[in-house]
Amino acid sequence: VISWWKARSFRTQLLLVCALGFVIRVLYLLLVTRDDRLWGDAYAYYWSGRLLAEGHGFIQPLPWVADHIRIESPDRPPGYFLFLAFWSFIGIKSWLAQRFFSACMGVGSIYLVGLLGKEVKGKRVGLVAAFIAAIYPNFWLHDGMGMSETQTIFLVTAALLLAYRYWREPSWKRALYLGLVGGFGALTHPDMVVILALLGVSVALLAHREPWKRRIVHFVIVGAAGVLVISPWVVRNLVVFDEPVYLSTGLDITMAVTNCDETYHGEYRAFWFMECATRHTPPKGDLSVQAVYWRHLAFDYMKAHKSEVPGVVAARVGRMWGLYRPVQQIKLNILEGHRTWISWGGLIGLWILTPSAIAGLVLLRRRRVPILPFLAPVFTVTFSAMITFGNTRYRAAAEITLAVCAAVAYVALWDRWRGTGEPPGEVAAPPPPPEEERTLVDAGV
Amino acid sequence: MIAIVFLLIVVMHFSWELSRLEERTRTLAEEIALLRATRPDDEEVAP
Repeated sequence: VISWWKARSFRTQLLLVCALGFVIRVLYLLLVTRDDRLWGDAYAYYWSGRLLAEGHGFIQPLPWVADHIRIESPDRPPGYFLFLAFWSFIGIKSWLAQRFFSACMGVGSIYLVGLLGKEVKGKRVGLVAAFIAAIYPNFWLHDGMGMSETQTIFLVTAALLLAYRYWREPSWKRALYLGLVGGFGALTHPDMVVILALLGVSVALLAHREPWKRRIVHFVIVGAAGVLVISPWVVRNLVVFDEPVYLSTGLDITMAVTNCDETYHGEYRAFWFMECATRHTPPKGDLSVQAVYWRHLAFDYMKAHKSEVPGVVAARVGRMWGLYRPVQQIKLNILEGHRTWISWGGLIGLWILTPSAIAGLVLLRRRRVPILPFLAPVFTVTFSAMITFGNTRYRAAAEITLAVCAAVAYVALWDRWRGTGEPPGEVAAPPPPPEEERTLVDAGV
Repeated sequence: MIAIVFLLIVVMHFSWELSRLEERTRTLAEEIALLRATRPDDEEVAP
């Protein structure tokens, strides 16, 4: 079997790993989540997509489905439900079927993770990273639940791949693609704006062999492409609502349910508690006006409890990274539809992958591979937890860093154990020299 | 590659059929519920 495997090309090997991931995702969908009730965020995504496909625009799904009341929605950016709307538009309206196609996107993420690993540190790292993405529960648990994290993982992986391809060979086209993918990512999950900004900065820093003028132009291209993709949605929000809304108002209500007595002390510390918002009555007006009210409510509470904020913020970060009340977090994940055994698998996977990924980052740094793009999703999700609450699902974008960097460490460990160096073709080639140096090299200097 | 494309088309067709049947089932369930709601009680129907 080993000789048969070794005789296959990288592409075939990667496709086989993808096939394994596909089987896991389909089994999870058909045997575990098939008959799950459609509710919560998944309800909002499914019906938002379907109503959009049926020509109702971007409206709040529940008031329309229940009472045919039309309320313009600023809750969520449209990235993921545009994907679902496509399937509804061509007649595939079944939630099960739409989750199947989301799972196919999850398989696409495995393929991209494999390419990313190969780009960063060679073929074996690519295959090990893809294998981790195929089996690690925190990669596939969203796929069977109809959650936007499936698309977030796909787009963040694509953005990282483009960033490393840019590092290898900077060009305005790669900067453009990075901006476009980052823009779509921001329309899927607003956090991605921060990732895009950090990757844009990375672009300017990574191309250290390019002249500054070209680097600045590429940086502007990344930003302009991202803005181009996001702008129709932002313009729509600015036109439709009374108060300024940019990507979504999700953050405001989330801050209201995460800054109150129940989430600063006791059982739900660093988590959310719905009554923190429902015990208050927001002013009349559209949802943007209410968002302002929720925001002020949260800020007022934070101002009144300044001394407690640092402790709560630390607990939120701990909760997200499986360090603060991890067993309770597994129970709380049930609220999101996670199965306990899958959450345990994800937590154990996290505990194994995190130290491995840190070792992988150190190895990459030593080998002069830039790690800033890999740190961008980690910083972003951590910042997201700091201002909202600790949640396993919100960590999705950072799982890519864990998978690829852990793969770097495992391959290095394997080589050390076997007492062999990296085989030819495995070492990531350094970026080519700048044009003036190239000329000197060509001239034989 | 041809096989994958063929399977994709088959999957999409079955997904479309599944969606159609789900809609039909839902409509039938709603019609039965409406009929039950408008149907007189057994005592009133009995002679």
